[in-house]
Amino acid sequence: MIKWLTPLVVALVAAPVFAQETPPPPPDAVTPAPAAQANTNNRYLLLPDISFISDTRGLFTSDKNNPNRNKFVFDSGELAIQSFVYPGIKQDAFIVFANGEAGVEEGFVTVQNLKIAHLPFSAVVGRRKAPFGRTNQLHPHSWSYIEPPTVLKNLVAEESLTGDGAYLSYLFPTKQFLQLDAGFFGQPEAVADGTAPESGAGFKDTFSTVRLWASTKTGSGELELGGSDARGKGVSYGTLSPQNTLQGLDLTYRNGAKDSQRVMLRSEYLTHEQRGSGQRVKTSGYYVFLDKRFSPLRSLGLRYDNSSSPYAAGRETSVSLIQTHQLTEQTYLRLQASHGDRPGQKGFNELRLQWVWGVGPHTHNLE
Amino acid sequence: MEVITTTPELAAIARELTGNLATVTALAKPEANYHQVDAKPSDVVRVAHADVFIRCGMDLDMWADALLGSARNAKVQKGAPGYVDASTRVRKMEVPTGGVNGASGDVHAAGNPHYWFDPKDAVVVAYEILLALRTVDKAHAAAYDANYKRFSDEITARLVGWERTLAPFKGQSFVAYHDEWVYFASRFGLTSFGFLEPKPGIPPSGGHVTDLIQRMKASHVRAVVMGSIYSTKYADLVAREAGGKVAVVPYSVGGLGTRTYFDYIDAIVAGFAKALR
Repeated sequence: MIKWLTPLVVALVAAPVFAQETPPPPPDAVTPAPAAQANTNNRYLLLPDISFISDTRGLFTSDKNNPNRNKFVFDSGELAIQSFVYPGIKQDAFIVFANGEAGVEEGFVTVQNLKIAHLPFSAVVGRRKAPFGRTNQLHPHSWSYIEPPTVLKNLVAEESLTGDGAYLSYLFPTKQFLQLDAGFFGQPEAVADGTAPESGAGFKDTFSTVRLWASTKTGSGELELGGSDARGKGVSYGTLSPQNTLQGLDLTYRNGAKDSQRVMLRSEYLTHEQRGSGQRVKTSGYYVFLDKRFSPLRSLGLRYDNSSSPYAAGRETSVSLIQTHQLTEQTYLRLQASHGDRPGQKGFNELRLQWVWGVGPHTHNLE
Repeated sequence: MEVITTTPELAAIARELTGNLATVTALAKPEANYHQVDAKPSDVVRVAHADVFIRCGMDLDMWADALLGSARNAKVQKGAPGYVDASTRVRKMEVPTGGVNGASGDVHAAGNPHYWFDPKDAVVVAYEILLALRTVDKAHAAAYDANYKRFSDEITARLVGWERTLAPFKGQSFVAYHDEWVYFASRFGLTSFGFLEPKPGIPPSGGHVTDLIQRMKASHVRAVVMGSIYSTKYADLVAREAGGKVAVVPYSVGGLGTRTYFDYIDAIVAGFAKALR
């Protein structure tokens, strides 16, 4: 017994001697502040991050039928409540105040690491802007323009394609960015048959989405390519009881330089198809947007829009010049001047102004 | 092992500790304004593959939060062994005592976050990184300890030379573009007289610059120091009117030909000496 006990005792006694002890902190280091004294955005108090972003807009237009013509209006206020609720599980709620009403624009839980068949997914459950196209998940205050591209308004939604449901996201374990998102959603509010929608994808009830998104470095820049598909039963109107399919391709190229200078080129091409009752109605459109940020505070963009509408005849084309003056990271003034042709309005001119201000810690996923 | 940092300075310090034991990459390019960095999909991949993620903290690199969320890498989420807030043990300066709001400009509630300009704080940062490296890669703890000691010793040795260079200017005042030199000035006994920005993050205005020139003349302040990302338009005017010189110093490791943290501080010390001479 002593034969094996002796080496064991020696090993136990010697172990601390051979263990690598942590060096002492340098003399200039301070003891980390206890959470209750830490002074960073109140995160120590188990309070969520709470922020508010306000969006006021003005419109001057040659369209005499536009009810907002030559007016400034408080467009919306966004109250965001964001926090981790469990290790690896984050909750986000965005409550929007607009037109005298409050509504939950988004309210979802993100499970960051969900193992399915040994593969790491993330899952989002709740009311969420659907992963479709490059910009659908962006909130208006994160857009690079005031008025969204015509093709997105005509074929996708007035602001964003949003639903109550869930999606899974898989980041491929590759050296280049490659991500697949697949979801299933229901319309937040019931849509009645009988009347053609004014614009948008026109899903009646449930819809599914798939998006594949890739990115590669190109010298000092980065090129992103994406393909998206959304489909579901469409709203019935007239003699049409369709299945709707919305598909899109998107491209973004960004090249950064000194300070915050950046050039960004972005384009999306979309098609919308209504098929049923022996009929097929297909529409398409695209935009090309070039934006140069000269400094952290100033950027200038030029956008060309070309789109038809699934529910009306004719095409709308326009050119917009967009200037942004950033006051802080969350506060900016923007001006968008547009000129173009739309059905019933040849040579329209529009000037939009936007004043966005924000307070409090506010984060979104990749923008 | 993959180490990802938000800024090139943190990467330079981390490289001193890892040597060949890890690949260290900074998300922000040299000479990018760290307050406003575009988080890109390729950055998501980098964070997704990271074993250690090092950030400045103090709300300077809040853009990193979106990346951490998108990357879904449990190894580097806040609280995980691979997550490093480099500011944790830094003695914070200019911590606001009253309320902070938009009227204060871009003031950080946790204090001025530009601590890496003080070489002794670089050692504090290195220590914080060391603790993470030792936990994540226990097998090489001894190597990290040795590299940390070498870095700390070299800072101590070089600090003597840096202090000697700036000793003749102790107590002298300078003007800068942005309020980012408080840690550096405190270390070397210099005094910050004012800034071209009327408040942090607010661009210079004619009225403010005119007032600054008058005050500089009255107080005989001539030195103007500019980080290399800022336009020297106003700085040249201010220096000319005040009868002084503008020194442009690297904003980042990697700027103005610098490669290591030591090159970087060498260039900054030389720039200050030139402006104050």
